[in-house]
Amino acid sequence: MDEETIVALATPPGRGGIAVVRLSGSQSEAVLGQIFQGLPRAPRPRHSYHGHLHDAGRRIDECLAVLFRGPRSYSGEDMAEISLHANPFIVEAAVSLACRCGARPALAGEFSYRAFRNGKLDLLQAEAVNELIRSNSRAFSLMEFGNLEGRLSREVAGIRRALLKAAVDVETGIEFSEDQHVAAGGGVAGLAGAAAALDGILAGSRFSEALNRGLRVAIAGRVNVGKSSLFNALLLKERSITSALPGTTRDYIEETLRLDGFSFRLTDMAGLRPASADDVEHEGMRRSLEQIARADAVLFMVDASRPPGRDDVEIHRLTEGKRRLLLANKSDLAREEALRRIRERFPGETPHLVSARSGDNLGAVTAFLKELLRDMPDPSGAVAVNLRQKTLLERLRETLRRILDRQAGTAPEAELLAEEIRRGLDLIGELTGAVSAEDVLHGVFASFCIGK
Amino acid sequence: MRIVVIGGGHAGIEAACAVARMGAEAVLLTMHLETVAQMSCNPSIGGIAKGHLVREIDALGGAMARAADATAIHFKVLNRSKGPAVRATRTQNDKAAYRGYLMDFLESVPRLQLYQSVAAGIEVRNGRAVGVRLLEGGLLEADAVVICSGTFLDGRIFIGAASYPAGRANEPPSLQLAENIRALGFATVRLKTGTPMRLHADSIDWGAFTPQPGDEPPQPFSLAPPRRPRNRVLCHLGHTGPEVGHIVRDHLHLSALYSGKIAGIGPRYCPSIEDKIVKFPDRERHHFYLEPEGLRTKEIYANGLSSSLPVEVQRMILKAIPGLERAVIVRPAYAIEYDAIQPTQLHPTLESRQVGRLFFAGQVNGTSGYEEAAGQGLVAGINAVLRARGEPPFILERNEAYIGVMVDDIVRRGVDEPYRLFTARAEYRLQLREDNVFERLGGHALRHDLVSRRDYDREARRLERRRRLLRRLSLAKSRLDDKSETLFQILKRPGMSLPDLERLHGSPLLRGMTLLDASYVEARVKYEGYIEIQEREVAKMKKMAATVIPPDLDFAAVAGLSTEIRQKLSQARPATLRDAACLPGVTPAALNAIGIHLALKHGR
Repeated sequence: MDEETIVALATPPGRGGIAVVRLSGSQSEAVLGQIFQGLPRAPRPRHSYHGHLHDAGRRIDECLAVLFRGPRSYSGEDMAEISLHANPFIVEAAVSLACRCGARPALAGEFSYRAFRNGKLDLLQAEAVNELIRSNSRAFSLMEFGNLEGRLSREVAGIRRALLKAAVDVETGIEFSEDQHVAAGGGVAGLAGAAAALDGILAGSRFSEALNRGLRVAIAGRVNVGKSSLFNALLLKERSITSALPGTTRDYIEETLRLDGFSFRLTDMAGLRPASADDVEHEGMRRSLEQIARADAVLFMVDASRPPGRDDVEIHRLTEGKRRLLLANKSDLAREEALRRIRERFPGETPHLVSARSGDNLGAVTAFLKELLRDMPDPSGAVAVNLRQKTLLERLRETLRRILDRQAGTAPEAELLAEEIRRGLDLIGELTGAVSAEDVLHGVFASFCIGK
Repeated sequence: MRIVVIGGGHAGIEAACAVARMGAEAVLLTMHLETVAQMSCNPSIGGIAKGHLVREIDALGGAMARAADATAIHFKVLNRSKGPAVRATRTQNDKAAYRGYLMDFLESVPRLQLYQSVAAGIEVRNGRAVGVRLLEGGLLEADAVVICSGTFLDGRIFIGAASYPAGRANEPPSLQLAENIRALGFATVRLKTGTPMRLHADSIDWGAFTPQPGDEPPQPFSLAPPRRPRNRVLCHLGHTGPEVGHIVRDHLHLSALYSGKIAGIGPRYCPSIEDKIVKFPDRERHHFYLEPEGLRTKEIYANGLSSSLPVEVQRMILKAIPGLERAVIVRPAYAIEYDAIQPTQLHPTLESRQVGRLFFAGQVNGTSGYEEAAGQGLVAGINAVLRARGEPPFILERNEAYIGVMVDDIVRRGVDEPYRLFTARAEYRLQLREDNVFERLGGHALRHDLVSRRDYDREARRLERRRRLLRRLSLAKSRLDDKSETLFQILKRPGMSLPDLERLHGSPLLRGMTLLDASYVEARVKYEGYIEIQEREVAKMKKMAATVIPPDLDFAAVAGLSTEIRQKLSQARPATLRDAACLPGVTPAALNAIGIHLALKHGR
């Protein structure tokens, strides 16, 4: 049997045209087969296949995939590479999906390490990799859980205790079944609390994502209202293709805007309009709705030259509950009648007359964004979780669920229950260092009067 | 070629037998021929993890399983309600019959010579053992020596305030050998263990106890049991009450354990009655078992009442236990302190690192239990012959056998209390079962001439029958809950057993199959998936074990290690990447960093 299959983003993080996610290890083809639609039954190595990244049938991105068979690959092992649109969400989705299918996030330098071990890199190249690791060692050591201060390590320590207690309980039942006072099972029940704590961490990790990546601000509005122009005006560069044809921005595009040392992730997305026959656009629409749902705030844009229509009302409804700024674009073409109707339609919201094209009154937008910053909740309650930790925690959550299910089942086989608990402890071990049999036995002797 | 084995206990017997079976000449040196194969403590063999060991010993041609089957008077499978991996066999044995059976057997083994004498020291020349000096004078020359001296090295017995040197009750210890071992430079550790009182059967009010019958049908240990197993006695379960707690607390200052007389460390899993009462003051009741020591003796072993209190206090305790008010002590409980060598001084072959061709096995290595001793005796005996012949060593891996887990544990980590096997110590527990010892160890046994070709073929045929049934289960279908599923899938459901499946399917599946055959098949079905995960772990473990960390590696030069981990590694100096992985707090990221560093600096 081979080593674990690893996965990571291979291109520099951030924006570019294309992002490459790379898998290495014996399971590469199997993992690719599960997350990529478009591979024939017997794929040819070193051949590019067009298809879709998908999550249980739901398409996430159109992409290209290539398989490599060891030793004819970068690492010398079986490998797969997926070229995706360089979008952090898509990249994260691809890595998470691969992890769900049995891969694990690669450690720093691991691809190169494997390549070197398999004789694919010479010493000089490998030294360079080592240097890279050295220079990244601050980030690297942050991945070492023991160094993490604060809530995360406390929470994980709590879950570790709960798992250890469950292990002690179940193992005692196995080793000392004749000691009749030993009633196994109580410790396992304590895992429900651990599962809840994990949910909290994982939910918290979404908040810390917001801190790391910046607040998400979506530009919403019906087709051709000028969203892309606003996006570009705010970023002061031509990023998305603007044209007079409705529906040009078929997918969303994201860019980071820095303001007062804090970043905002500005999303420009497909115009919202009722489903069309065009499948790709339909998919873009669906994703736009998703973007709205994920956004921390919305710039809601209407046309100052036209009274609001059904689409505007619908989009207004969809962005209900979000922090929202009402923008009336095309101030140069504004008509009083239209503005009056806008005020009527959206009572309680002040329309800010702007011109995305000329940059008129964009200060209203930056003022709104700064205000968002001031209203941010106190970040001290947040839990910093990186992707590797997050993957492990999600697996741990899954393991806890299986343990609780098994425990609740009709015939909980003690040794299989113990096996799942061990796997949970192994996962914790990957965060905190190994939990040994001796730790468990120590718990057994400390908690139970054992021995006839 | 001659191998001398010192000590005629459970380790020594297996060592000498293995040597003789492999074609070398074995001399089994014992202080006292009458007590060869003595069960010094409880009258039983096996138990959880220990039953597993006994079957492994059997599969490797050892004597223990057959001796236990031949002399068992009560059979039980523990954890019967749990899955195949943790079910384990235990027998109660007639101690005198056990000694007799093994003595007869030893006398019949070709190339094995029994010799009653006292070892005074190991003769070492050029850094290797060349023989054993005897107290009577003279030197017994040997190509290798195996020391299986049990608790006899500087043994000292404690009962209350009294103490005297002994290897076992009223048997002299090995003082000269202990001194010699220390002089050879071995680091020793002082350990302690204890044994309960033996009572006269006629003085016990049996009506006060709950009878514990053996299992029907009884299940023997050996692949080829010497006779039909039969339950002949009952064990009994009883409880102490709060009164015993008061007595123990009032007299604690008289206990050798609590008065500070005993410095040795005792086993946590086998506490004395005073330990139980001190450490768990909230428990008013402690249970114990009454177990017959044999068919022709009235002695009853009071399992659970071991103590180092004075005999008069032991009597007071008995008086306070319902049913034992008039119990007569035939042999008092006692604690014993003894020297063990720190087993980190041994190779995984159990050969010592500092003196070549000198092997250690059994309790002298800091373990406890007859089965643990026997398993080590086997390993030491086999390796003594291989070493003397210049052949590659015999080392069982952690995923192959509990014997492998035990040896790896003690030589790698050492002991700080008497070491006992638990299934919890095995990472690959689902694979180390009582039902698959042949599959795991049959090949090793045949290769080293430990079993006959005929016995091997018989078990190979049995394995083929089991596999045939498995194939049948994956092909045949039955309807359950309105769905047609393969029998394999149906059996995989929680709570479903092979007999259940037979009823459902309506045709005999288990004809000609033993309980263990059924257990094997169930395990293969129920553990499917889990076993594959474990196999991946095994592959990873092997790869890591093969990556050697040079002893002079400067961990400060390894990029990407946290200061804390760096310190830990510098202190522990792990020999391989796997040893590093076993250190607390060492993460996979750290292991990766070390791996990269090694690849760069030391080539592949």
